[in-house]
Amino acid sequence: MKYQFSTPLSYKLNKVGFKPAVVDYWIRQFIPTFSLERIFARVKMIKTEAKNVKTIYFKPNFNFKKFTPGQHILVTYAINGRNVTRTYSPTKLGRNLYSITIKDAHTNEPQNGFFLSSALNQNLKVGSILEISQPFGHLTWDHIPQSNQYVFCAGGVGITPFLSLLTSSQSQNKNITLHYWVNHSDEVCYRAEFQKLTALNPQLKIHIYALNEQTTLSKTPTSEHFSHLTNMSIVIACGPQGFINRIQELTADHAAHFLAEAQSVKKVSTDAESFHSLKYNGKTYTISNKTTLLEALELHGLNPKNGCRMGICKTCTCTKISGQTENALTGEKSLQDFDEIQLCVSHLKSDVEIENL
Amino acid sequence: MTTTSLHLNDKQLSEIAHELDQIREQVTQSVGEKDAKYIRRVLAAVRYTELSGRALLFFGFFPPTWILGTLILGISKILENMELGHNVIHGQYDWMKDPELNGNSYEWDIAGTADNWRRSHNYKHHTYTNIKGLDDDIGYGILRLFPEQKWRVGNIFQPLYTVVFALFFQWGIAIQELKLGKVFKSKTHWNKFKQDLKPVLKKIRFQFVKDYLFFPIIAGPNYLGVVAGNFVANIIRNVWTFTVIFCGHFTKKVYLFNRHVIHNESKGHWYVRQILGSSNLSGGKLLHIMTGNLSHQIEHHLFPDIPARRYAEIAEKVRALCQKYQIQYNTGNMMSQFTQVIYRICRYSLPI
Repeated sequence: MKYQFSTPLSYKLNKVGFKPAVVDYWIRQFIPTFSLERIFARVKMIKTEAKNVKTIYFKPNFNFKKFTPGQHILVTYAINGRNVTRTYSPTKLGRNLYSITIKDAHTNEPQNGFFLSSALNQNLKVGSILEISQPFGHLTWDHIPQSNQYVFCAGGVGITPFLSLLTSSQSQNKNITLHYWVNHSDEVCYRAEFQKLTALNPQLKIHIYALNEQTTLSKTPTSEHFSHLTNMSIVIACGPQGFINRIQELTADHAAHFLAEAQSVKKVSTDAESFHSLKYNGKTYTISNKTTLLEALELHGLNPKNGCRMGICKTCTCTKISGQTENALTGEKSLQDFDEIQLCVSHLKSDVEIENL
Repeated sequence: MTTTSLHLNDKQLSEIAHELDQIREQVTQSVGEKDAKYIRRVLAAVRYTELSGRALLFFGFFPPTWILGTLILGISKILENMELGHNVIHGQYDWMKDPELNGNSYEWDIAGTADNWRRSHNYKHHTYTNIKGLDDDIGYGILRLFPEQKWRVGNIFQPLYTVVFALFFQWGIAIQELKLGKVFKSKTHWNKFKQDLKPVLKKIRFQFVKDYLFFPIIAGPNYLGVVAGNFVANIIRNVWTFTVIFCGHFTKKVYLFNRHVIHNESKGHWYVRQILGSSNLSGGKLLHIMTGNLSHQIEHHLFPDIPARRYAEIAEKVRALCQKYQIQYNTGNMMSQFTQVIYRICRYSLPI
């Protein structure tokens, strides 16, 4: 994150001739997580959760503000000298102790959604330092509409925001059913936590569907999983985009609300492929309407700043000077000149000019 | 000499562009961990030399510590301006996405603002290298270095005022973008000047508070010793950066270009213009580091956004290319190159 002299102390120090970066440098020689403005976190413990899945426990420094269960953070870590940033859903465990669960997908493709998770899984040790962002996002109990029935649907590591919501005290006495789909039973996370949670809240039911797992229902989402839905039900899905689309198809007609958080945006417009020119910071590139602007620019060897790659953190927001783009997340078209667009979820609809300063 | 056309035809120029693009491709693909570690080591060296220099100056005028402290602080400022600041501001390390090493936000330890530098240097000087009337770095508006530049009576004294310019080089850079010569010409110029002046004054105040108020005051009774040490350290840095920069573009054989070359200029022509308008300094590793690898001025002008520590390996390939196409590759040791610069300053102070 950029230094913005955002705290009174760093502003004052800058006035008398101290750059916050220099102050940070010296204090960090002794306290590695110190910063006047940035949020660094130290890894306190690493637990193997399931096959290729680890839970990382970390303590952020004093700049980390109030976290509400269900929110996300950006995690930044250097891979081969390059800082890479992705979104995670932490669980709050103590006054200043949090955890994230990450999966090693054995990938070293930067375009892969598991690129950072794989590297973190392989490289982090107790004592490692991560940079994180302030919490953000609205998948919290305060923002979820009130109801007498909640249905959570998790696909793979999409389980993490639900664990965060379930561990919150606000989930007590709520009628919640969690459907959790995983490929194989040895990839199932949080079994111990689930036992504790169901003991605490008798209205909480957890169903796990995976290969080698004893289940009465099908191992892929079908309508029979949702036969108990009422017009008061609130369905929340989290996982890969394909999974979310499937859940939406199955539940949209029955439930009161459908909320979703995708972990990777791979929705491609149904239009035929076409190519347009993209003028980016003065240079012109030819780009297909099938890839997001971020991916396209990366394929051209550029490195625009970005974060979650799913349209929620707004790190990659740019000013579109002219032309039309479409937001893959919402399907919304940006037709106005000088509109703010996010590179990671935008597709070209015409020749476009963008400035990113 | 002013050049209007090169000895190369369009086919050769496009071959040259292709070969240089390939060199660029090879290097950018291998940029990674090693380059990141290197620039972090440079940053550490800057921080530790600054700390030890300033600490030694706390002992006031006591000769052994004062001289050593001043020297180390001067070296620290040189390292910060050249190998760290100049290269980071070019965006050479933007791929790291480290906020401390970001080309758009880095601010350096010199009177001029990084924002003005990004415009006058990164944009104008690097795009219009050695084009008369477009590259403000040709003589910085006060020196006549090529016969094609108009002679004014004041130029007679330029061998003298160049010395002053070198001693206070950072101030020359600081006010370069303010275009003082135009201020009183019209009301619009005056208003623009007033706007542009604000950030410049802010930066000057920041530098002044640091070197001449904060550190001297915390040294208590040794106030004057610290002020003098900081002043001399700034001068050491000024003279060194002046020397390196002038050796980069104003040696005997560098080309000056006519304004019209940029009309429909091909990539190949642009590349060749960078080679002909720049000159290198030969020397050891220490020289390369202390000049921020501007000793590889030619390679820097070809690829201003590639990490500078790679210029040495690129130089071998560029030299081979120059030999192949018979393009002049200007290089020499600092002594001989700087002598040529001084000759230019003296020679063209005269109208004929």
